[in-house]
Amino acid sequence: MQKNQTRKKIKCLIIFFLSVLNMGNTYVSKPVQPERILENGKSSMVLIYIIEFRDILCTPCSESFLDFSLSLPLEFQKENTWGIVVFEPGRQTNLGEKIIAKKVRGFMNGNQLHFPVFIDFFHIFKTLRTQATQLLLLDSTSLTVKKYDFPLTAKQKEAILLAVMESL
Amino acid sequence: MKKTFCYFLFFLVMMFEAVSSPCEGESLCIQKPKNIRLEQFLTLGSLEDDLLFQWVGVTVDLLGNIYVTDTLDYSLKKISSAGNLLKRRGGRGQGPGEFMAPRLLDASENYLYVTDHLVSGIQVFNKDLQFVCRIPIQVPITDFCVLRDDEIAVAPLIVNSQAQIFFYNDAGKIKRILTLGQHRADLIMDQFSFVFDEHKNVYVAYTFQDTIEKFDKKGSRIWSTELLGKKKVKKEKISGYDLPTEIIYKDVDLDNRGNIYILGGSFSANPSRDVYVLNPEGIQIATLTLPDTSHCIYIDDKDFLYSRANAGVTLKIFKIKY
Repeated sequence: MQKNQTRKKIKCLIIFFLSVLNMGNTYVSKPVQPERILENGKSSMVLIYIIEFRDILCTPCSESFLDFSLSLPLEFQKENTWGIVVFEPGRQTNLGEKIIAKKVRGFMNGNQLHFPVFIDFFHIFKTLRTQATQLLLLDSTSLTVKKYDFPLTAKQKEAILLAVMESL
Repeated sequence: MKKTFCYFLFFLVMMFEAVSSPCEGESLCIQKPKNIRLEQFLTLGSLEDDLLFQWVGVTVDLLGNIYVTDTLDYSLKKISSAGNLLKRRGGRGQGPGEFMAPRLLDASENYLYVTDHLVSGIQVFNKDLQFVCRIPIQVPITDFCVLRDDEIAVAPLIVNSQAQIFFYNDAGKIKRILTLGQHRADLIMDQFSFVFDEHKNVYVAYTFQDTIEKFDKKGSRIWSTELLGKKKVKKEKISGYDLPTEIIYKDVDLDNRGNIYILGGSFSANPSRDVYVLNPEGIQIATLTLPDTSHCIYIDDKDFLYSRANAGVTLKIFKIKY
């Protein structure tokens, strides 16, 4: 009984978290209702990338991230994956929002990435930023959130992919 | 009276001769700035469209079609002279016709030659962007120039070596090496961009040295000049090596009159925007300023100058006016 309540609470938190992502000016394209992901989606997992903008401009820096993303089943990529592009205020902001948005679009198109992506122009996620692109894995079955930094080790990649496959 | 008039006439003729005759000694030559200017002709790639995301290399064929490499979507693109995308080839990978980081681009009459920052060799495409072959060149390439289909001049990135140009055939075999000058610079300080004129003289702009040089086809220096009075660039220790972190000259190209155009880097009055124009004798005759910063300049056969804008999402084309 208590476990069910906790699960419900976590679910609410996840929905709230995803709603925050969906609101306001960070929006770029393809809005997806978070409720639909959790209630109607096939997987109990949600994967959120915190993508460093400078990694987008650097092919070797994004290699591990791309390698992992493209290993995900297409349906999971479309339905259960989100991306948030973050960047350092200052130099990169000076590029202009439209240029940043266009480069993100080019990166997504060029790599055939099919998940919705948002750009954090207002630095809402600045406290989450590290030096690397990150992966947040939200699991509504085990009620856990795990965080990984790219580049992933082979072992990490294998474990995450296994968990994703099992959740389908 | 007649004698005085004759002297006066003689003096006038001498004066006229002195002003109109070509300069022989550089120190005596006073060059008036030439009225060379750029007139904006065409802009490709807006902030809204999906034509260009981060273009790097550019070249133009005889029909006026424009070819660009775009590193963000791993592609080679063919664009009409009116600015419409005609074809796109590529995709992320290391297979035939794929790219990891497409970069430099040059063309012969029939083919396009493309380097990749992360994959060795040069990929060859026809003008319909169909993959033809890969020329196996093992050294990293900092600049290259296709002289003929079976002669490709390459500036290799070789640590602790003299500035050299390697000439490869279409099978990737070195046919000859042109050594530029005598001295050997530390690490990669001799890195350069280069361009050939119709007599196979080569013009060299050093990336980390304030030096522009002209060599004949045997590698003998014809002249050497510096434009900025910058003796040294800043260096930082990276992975245990002292590496330069500031660029003096970014690129060099020639117009149809044989004038040399050099894009300045960090030390120019307008960094990455100033283009110094030298006559074939190495005398500076003008400075042009691009409206946006660029990583390269390219001049086609009809004297249109191509440069970058909006951090690589836009390509600007200017007509050089004399």
